[in-house]
Amino acid sequence: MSKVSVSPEFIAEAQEIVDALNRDLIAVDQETRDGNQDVDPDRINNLFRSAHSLKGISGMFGLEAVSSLSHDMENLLDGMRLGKVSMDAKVLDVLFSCVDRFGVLIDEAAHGIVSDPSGSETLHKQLEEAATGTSDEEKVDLLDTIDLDKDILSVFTEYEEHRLRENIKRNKNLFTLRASLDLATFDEALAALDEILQGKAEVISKLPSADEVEPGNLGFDIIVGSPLNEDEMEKLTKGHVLLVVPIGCTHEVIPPPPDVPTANTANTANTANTESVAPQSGQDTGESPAATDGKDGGKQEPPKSGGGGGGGGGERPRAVQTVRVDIRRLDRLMNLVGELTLTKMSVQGISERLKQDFGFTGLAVDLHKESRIFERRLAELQAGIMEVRMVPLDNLFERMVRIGRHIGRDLGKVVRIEVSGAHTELDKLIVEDLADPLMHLIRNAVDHGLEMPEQRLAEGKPEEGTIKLSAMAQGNHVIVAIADDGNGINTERVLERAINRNLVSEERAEEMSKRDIYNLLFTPGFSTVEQVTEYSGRGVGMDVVKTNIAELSGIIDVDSAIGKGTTFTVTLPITLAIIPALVVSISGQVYALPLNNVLETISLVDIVIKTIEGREVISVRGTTVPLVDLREIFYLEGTRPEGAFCVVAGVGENRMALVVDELIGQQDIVIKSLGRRLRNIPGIAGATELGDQKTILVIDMVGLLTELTKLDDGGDRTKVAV
Amino acid sequence: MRKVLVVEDSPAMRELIGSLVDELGDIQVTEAENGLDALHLLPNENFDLILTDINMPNLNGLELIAFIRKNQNHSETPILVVTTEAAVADRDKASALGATAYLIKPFEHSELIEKVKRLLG
Repeated sequence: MSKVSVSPEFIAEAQEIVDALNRDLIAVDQETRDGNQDVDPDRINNLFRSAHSLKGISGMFGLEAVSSLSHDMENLLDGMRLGKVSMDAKVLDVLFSCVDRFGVLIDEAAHGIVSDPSGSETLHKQLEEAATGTSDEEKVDLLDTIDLDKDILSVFTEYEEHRLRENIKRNKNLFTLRASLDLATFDEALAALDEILQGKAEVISKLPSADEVEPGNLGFDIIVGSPLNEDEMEKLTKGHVLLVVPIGCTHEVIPPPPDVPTANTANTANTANTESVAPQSGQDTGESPAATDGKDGGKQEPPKSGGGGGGGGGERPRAVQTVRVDIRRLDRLMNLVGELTLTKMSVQGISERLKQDFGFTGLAVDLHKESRIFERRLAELQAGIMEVRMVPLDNLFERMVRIGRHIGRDLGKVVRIEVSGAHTELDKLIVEDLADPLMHLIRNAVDHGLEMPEQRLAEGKPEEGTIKLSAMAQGNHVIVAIADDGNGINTERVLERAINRNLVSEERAEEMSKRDIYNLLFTPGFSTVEQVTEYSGRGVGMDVVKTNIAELSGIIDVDSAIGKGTTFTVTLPITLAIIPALVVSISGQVYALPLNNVLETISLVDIVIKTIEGREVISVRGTTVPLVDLREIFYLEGTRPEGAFCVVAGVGENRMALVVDELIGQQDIVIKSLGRRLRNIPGIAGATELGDQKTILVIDMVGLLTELTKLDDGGDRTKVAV
Repeated sequence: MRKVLVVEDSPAMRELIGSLVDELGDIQVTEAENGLDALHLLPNENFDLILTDINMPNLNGLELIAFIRKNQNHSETPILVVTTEAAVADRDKASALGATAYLIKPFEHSELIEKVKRLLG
């Protein structure tokens, strides 16, 4: 035994595989007990694949005891799925013992203990014995008796060949189903076809073809075996496939006698071994000792370790208590919470009316009390689901450290990356989408931010450049910062470059603030480095970073000091699944503005509205922000009332102030799509429901700001019909 | 920047292979869970190297290799088959279909790095 540290991902995946083995074995056990002569081939193949995967990963992660045991198990299961070995109660018992043993070994590994394979010797021996039922395939290859293209046969795995032989042996009709499926959705189409064929045909193989059947489509040849005839198959698959081509038989095939399981015909030459492992009928299975044991133990439970496993016994401890869940399932739950929130508000509305109409007594008090409890529990439920979606940033940060070091090495810079706050958690989907922009920012910091070692020494800085990658939670947001101690952003050079590239006029340049100038870094086509390096690309980086972050409803800010360094700060919402929104009204219409992008709300009463180049602007904390009236953009009737408000919103470096007539309140919303046809309306993110069963539109702040920024860059306002 | 596609159904293995390739630097690693997943990527991307397992659900590695070789974009792309020592017959088939090289799991990290380097030229 030795002590090591094994990655938790490996432990989780290994445990999942062992659970799958266990599940499939229980199902097979059930099938053989029910007297089925043929175990579902897919199930045996699944077992084989599980053993195969377990062997693969355990070998890679240095767990020799697991990998050698799964190797022998894989051998046995391979023989079984290829029809060379039969499944019976005794073999099942050995397999169950292996699963128990895996459980023990993986649990040990989770605690850093690695056993050598000698502890599982008895099991190894039993697996080997069981696998010796092997014999060669029959002399006449049935595959020669059918009229199937050799090219197609050449891509069949051994298992697929075996399934093809089995279908021929059973006198099934073979067909090639030719389908032409849309490139974007072929997975779903294939799954739909599988469903139709379920129970009526066995899919032996699916072959994609490189020739386009129709433009934008991918051709598939699906080889199936089925008792149906050509007409029936055509009827069954109508609308799903283009063509049904029967694969002819060139020889007469004698069907096997009905009672004899065909899987064993190959074993007749090896009688002694076959008899000991093959279940010839349901009765045989019933008589074997393991099956009798199993009956006593109840059907759902696998037999306990047969004693050969060594070390098992008793309750099998679980290595890691985790469940992997498709994030879409959590989305559905979150949607339900959103709907319950609406119900909650309706109930509160009723409670309020009851209070007003009949006074706050009796039932009204009870209802009020209960609805408060409902509200609290619902908030807990929402927080609970949110918690499940959250993952720490540590994995992502580790990757960034690796990438940063690597780039530094390649560029001849000495880089140290200091990470802090890596335990900060964010919605998994956001973390995934954050990888690309973060990578660009790290690349940028190493490449543009940090100076070469000689230059640093000359400036009196340490040779080693430091990049601080940090994360911290702040309310409903997470702030990720990338700070380098390099030479900072030279605003003069940025301006010069922007003017040379016609990104900004000279007149405009003169009145630009530091912030405006930094903003130029995010303009498409901007790059201050003369030499384009392979890491920073061709100036595509920063504008893409900005867009990516904006798509996550995030904001990016830059701060820099000459000689001291540059800091990029990315502010992200912790989730996009359910978001707080500000409900407002404009010209009698009610809209929701996602609060993620809202910076503040200001009453317009005491604010001076100036007009610059025909556009209204206001001054917010020293910055000039354009005033945007949605009445103009959405062609709403009516005029701006006295005492209107404005909502200051920011996306990335851009700011705007939206004029609203009335601030109605704040509410958590779940954004619903407007459906295919209305999906791409600029300025509208979707719709949401308010408690009174009213549906309102949600403003797409990011989209709106992006459209407006385009105007800044010389566009004509009237041309943009939003 | 060169592009490498890793097709592997085991997440832990995919992550391991992906990070080893990534360590080489200047490489964009794209991951696919199985053959079908890879089909989505192939028509629109040009990869400089494809690493694939053979035994995978939903379109096995052999079918994928045959498809890659028939595809104009990738008729010359090197394919490194990363699989276990079982199924020798399948490996021979992969070879006949146009796989460029093999790596047997479990492998030493340096072995994978060497092979990838060599195949990327």
